Amino acid sequence: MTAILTTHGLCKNYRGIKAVQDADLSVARGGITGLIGPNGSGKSTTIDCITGFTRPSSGKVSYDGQDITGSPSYGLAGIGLVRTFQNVRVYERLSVMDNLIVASQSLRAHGWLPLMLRSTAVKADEKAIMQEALSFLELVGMAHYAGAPAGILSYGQRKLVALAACLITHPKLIVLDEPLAGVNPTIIRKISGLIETLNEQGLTFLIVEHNVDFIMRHCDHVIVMEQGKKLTEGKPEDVRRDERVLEAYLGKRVGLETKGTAYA
Amino acid sequence: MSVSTPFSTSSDAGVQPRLTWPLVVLSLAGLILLPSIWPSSYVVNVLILAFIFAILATGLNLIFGYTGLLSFGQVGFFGLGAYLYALLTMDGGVSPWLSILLAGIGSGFVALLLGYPALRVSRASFVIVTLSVTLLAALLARNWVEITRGPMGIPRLPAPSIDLLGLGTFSGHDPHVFYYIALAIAVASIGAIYLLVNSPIGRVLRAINLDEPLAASQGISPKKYQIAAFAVAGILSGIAGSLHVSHLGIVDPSIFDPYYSEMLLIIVIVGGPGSFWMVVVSSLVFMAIPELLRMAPELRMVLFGMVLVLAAMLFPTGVGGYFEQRKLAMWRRSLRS
Repeated sequence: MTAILTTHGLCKNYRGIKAVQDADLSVARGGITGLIGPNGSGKSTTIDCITGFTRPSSGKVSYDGQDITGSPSYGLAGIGLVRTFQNVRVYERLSVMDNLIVASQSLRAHGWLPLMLRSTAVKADEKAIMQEALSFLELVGMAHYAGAPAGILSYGQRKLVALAACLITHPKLIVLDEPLAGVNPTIIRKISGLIETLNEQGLTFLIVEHNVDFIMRHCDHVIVMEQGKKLTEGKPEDVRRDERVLEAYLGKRVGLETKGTAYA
Repeated sequence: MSVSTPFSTSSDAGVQPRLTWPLVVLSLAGLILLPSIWPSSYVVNVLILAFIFAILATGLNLIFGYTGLLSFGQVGFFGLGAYLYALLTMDGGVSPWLSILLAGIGSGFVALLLGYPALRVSRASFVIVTLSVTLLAALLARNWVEITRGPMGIPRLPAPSIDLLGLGTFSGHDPHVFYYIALAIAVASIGAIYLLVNSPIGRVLRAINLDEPLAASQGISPKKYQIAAFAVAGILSGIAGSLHVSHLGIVDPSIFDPYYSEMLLIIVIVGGPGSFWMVVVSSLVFMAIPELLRMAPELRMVLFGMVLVLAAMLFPTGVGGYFEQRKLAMWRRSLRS
């Protein structure tokens, strides 16, 4: 399988703190890649570098055959790379429908005058987008709420709307930052199912997640990070058995006698 | 838990949408007929000032209420437009009508140039830069005597006049004529902003205001929209400023007076930033009521200050925001049942 996204020697320093060091990652086209690691291991900084929210200190990011290192975040949706955020973001004071219409890119292609005067082309486009938005809302099970302000939705429902807003941009690769954190089991099942379905339709995912059960069940490739570096990668079942991964999460296995001396 | 879905794509919070248009048409008809019903030139002059402030406040509403950037530069562009009008008509020999247009375009252009550096760092730095620019403009108006004539100002400015073929020329120096000129320009410029904020562009502006990183992740360049909105708000301020001095007949550095800034903020904050019609109504109310009640000028500023403090405490999101809160509460109730 070819890679849709690769990073080479990706580094990000914050005044001496090396948040990400020399990360070489690769996301296979058409797959679901998991990015795991303990808190503070540099997962979020890595995806911020990939999606243009911070500029890497050094290294290279390539997506779909293009060098996108340091390109601004707003330049990436147009080439099919979108993301969600750890603390889910929706436009709270806009309706759910408007959340999706804003995310859709085809309206923005029109000039300002036709947009202001709502020319027939703009009207037709808007109507098509509303239809499309409704179909995505139906897919995530939020069509009932199309007219409701997004601010009244629960945390999990917002995650579903955020996912629908990603889909309406017609992405090739979706980067999900902890899609399941803080969400009830019903919606976890819902999101897992959606990711599976969308992946079958050809969408590629890069997922940062702490829910090990989810990672093991749905990812076909897992990358483990620790203290800013890539610790290991491979198939979920191999990674699970890796001694170093357990160590990174739980600490070193130590014998009783050495523990005794440590306290002495 | 099924909820009916009324698609409200025009998300202007405020009065019930069904009532808005009849009310707008009715008020406009009232304003057109008013001088014939109540021909006092005092009333007419007060309303002219209200129209000018409605233009200015709608500009601030665009940049502050919709785009979320608090600009103290609007009074600066108001003064800039005023001086541009004076210089174009007096020194440039340009006709008053064209000068109003050019004053608007000129102010918008300066805003465009200013927007980029002002937005480089943060929204907070934008506030400071725009405040500084207004203070700087006032300083220039006082001290660049060769161009601005200094504190004495530029007197005897012409006013635009209406030339109706066959009926003769109506001079804008007559308040009753100027009333209709100001009303027409206000309707045109406020109408244009109405179209803008209710178009997909307005929706994007609100989105950027609500969550800039999210908008960027969806392929929207926040800065591009913010600078454009700032330029459009600058155009409105410039038009309002030129209109104001063409009516007064003189421009001097007092055009940058804090009175204008304070009035403008009260109008937008009490009306409700981001509520289109509430801000327009509030400009008319705040210009007309104190004048008609003939309050002492010294006391008036104190009262306005109190109104601003009270509004910030009781209606932090303005009257328009209050309506929006009620709409939200209604949604919550309908979801619970």
